[in-house]
Amino acid sequence: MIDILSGYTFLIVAFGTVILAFASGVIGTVSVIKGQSLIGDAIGHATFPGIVIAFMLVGIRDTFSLALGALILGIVAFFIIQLITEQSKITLDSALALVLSSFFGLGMALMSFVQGNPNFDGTQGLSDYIFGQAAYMLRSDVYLIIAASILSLLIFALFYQQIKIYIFDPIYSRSIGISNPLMNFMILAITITLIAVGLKAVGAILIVNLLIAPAVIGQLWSNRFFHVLLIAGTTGAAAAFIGTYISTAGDDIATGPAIILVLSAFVVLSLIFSRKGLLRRSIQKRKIGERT
Amino acid sequence: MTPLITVKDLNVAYQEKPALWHVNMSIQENSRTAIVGPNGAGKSTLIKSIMKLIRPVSGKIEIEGRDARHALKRVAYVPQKGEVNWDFPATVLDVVLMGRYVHKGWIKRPNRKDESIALSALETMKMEAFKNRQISELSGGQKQRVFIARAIAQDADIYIMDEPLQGIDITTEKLIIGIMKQLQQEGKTFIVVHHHLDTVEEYFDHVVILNKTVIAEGTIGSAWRKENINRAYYEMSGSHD
Amino acid sequence: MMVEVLFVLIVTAMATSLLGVFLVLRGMAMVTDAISHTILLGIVLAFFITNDIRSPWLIIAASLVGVLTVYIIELVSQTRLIRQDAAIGFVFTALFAIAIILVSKYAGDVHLDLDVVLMGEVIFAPFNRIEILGFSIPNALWQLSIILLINIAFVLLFYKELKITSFDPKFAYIAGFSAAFIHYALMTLVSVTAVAAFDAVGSILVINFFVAPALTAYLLVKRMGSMIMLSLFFAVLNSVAGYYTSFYFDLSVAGTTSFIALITFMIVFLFNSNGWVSSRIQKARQKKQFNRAMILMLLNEQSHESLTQEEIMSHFNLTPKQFNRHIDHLLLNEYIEKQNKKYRLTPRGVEFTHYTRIKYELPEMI
Repeated sequence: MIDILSGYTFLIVAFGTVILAFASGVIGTVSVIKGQSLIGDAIGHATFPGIVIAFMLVGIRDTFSLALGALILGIVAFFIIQLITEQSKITLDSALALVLSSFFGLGMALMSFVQGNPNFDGTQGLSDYIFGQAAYMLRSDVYLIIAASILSLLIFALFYQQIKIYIFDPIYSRSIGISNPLMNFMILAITITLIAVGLKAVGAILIVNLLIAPAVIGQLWSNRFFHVLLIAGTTGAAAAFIGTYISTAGDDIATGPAIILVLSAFVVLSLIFSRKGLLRRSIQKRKIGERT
Repeated sequence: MTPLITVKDLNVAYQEKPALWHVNMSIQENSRTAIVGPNGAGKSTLIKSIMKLIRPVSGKIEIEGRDARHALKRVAYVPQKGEVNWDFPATVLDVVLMGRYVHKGWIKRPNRKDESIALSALETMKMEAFKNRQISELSGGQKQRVFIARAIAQDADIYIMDEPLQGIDITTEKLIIGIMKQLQQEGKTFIVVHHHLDTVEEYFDHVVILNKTVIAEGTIGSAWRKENINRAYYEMSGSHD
Repeated sequence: MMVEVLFVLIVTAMATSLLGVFLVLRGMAMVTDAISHTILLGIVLAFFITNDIRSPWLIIAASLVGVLTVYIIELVSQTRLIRQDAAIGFVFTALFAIAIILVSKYAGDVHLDLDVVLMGEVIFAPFNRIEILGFSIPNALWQLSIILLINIAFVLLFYKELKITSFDPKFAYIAGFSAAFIHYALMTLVSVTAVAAFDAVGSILVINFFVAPALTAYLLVKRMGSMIMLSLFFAVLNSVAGYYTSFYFDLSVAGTTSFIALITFMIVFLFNSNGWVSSRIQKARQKKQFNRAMILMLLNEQSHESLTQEEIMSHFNLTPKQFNRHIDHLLLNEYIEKQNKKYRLTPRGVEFTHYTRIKYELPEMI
């Protein structure tokens, strides 16, 4: 066990996933409370063609340009979703499904083009970004995750009071001079950035779980926004550490899915045992039943 | 007496349809002014315009002779219930502390002093016992008390409220009116969108009767007359149904 | 033989988009997205047992996982502890994660390529054939045609119930229709169709085949019946366009078709008769009319009966260019006249303001 914990691969992967999961847990809480959890899912899928396009343009698999490609396509996808929902009778739910699958389809089409074309080599790694391959993370991947996560958390902390009022009571927030569009854009930009840098670690499909599950856990344990954020960040980070350990210790267990499973187990435990959980609820029900 | 707020020739349109047309009115300092009018008369649009939340087609809003933009910190807004995200994890005290934000700069967190101001605002609204309850667990009337406590904690001198008496219990209604009269003694001004015609006289001392344009305004004695109410509610062009 | 690929694609698109109409109308697009991901778990589990990717047992087992996904999501959101959208996002990713771990752990022992499951390879469909009544046809074509027929039968048989439960579930309940039965029957068919379609179009892109044609049709029609017909039309159109484009550029068929479906949608979204472009044009026209009416109404007020250019411009914050455009139009139509650098209404203009007040439901001048 000590061997694993001090191994180079483990250290570098764990460091990256833990800080990514912490930041995603904190930032994801905002979308979950706003009832927009699945935007993260749509954007996660939609970043995939960005990876392939960046690969086609830059040629080498350079961490930074791939993340940039993902970021740009994520933003494009978001604006299409917004355009469709605001300018037609299509609901958010439908628009997400449409954009998610079409962009992913574009990614698939481009990938088949790249793979069939002898001008491009090293295409094998591209599907790592779909399923996540934390074990192949390079030092530069981890640096990028750390930089993006710290920057995201800093911006979030800087605007904490404004963001809080904006989510709770958007009209009041405008009445005291907070710019709602700016808040919305900032949260979105941070979310897409975290998705873009996190793709290699957990993959385009599963990344939304890192944004949703910690927030769900936080909400089950606390009624206070700040505590929800702390719990979300911490459980995300803890799950990332345990998941990375399991995947390093066991063989052929992918890191991303392992983290997601640990996190999902936390959600199930919280659903049952938390302050607002099912266990306590049924005990209370029984008490009320005895009294009457 | 020079008015506190002056609205000059305000025209507002939603989707190229006028919501407010040629509105000229004023709000007297230290008054309790009701804004009444039928559904779709533009009551909410008017108060949102006063707070500069809506960009008008034309017109000016001045607070003490200057553009209202400069005086927004003096305004405390009590929202309609539907405007708030009830899933937000916040205790009653958290919500009231949000009122202190106006006096804070960047990053600075609320301190002891802010907390004691918030607590005394809750006391005023008889909600101190609920300070650690989650906001969404409260009844309609209790929620409304918390939002008024937030406005009090904001320490503003102009209170703008959008139908604060809608769907609340009678005790809360009496309490809110009592607080309103008490704060008026301390020099505050109230602008309240109000729905019940039968309580206007009892609760307010000034009234603006609105239906896209101002039908009548002034003290209850001068403006709150049968013919004005009829004009706003029953005789408008295009609203014969 | 290649044309058989196109047939498989078209039959898949029709079977999915037929159900897609109801998914869109019921706001269940993202639940379907969850199903399309989690059937991977069903496919993996069933494949371990049957070792045959086209075994009917695999279809049944994987479909069960799809229905189970819907059930778990409902169970979780019924506790009211987690919002439905968050429940969808966390349930499907958890099940998908299990599937990936199983595949990566046992990939050596079984022959199951994740990329193929995810992307689908419709061009391989003709290699796996079956003899029906002496004709040799691709197995996928055979299975999907049967599923298409089942879906058509379902829609015809329960047309009224589908309509009522999609439109107003509470009324349906009072009227004695079991919304739950229709709901689970629909979800079962969605799962079965998604599983049968996965090796043609891939387990993720199948969501596109469900919703894209239905959404495109939704923009154009007012009635459910026409939405179904139009949805089938777009399904065929996207398939044909996707098929030829992908062959021309040598791309993945399903991926290309999915993206072309978005292009079709966007074209309809932008250019249909009340689409984005025409509503922009209409808005600009309305705005022009509104601004002109505003100027006339201003001149109709007692204190503003005759105004200079500067007064009008400052009142509405107009630029000289905007001002000239509006004023020229009003002068030309003889709504206003100019005297000593001041503008005032003509009798015709006064009459116009009267009608404008009625149009905008404004009170008459006091």
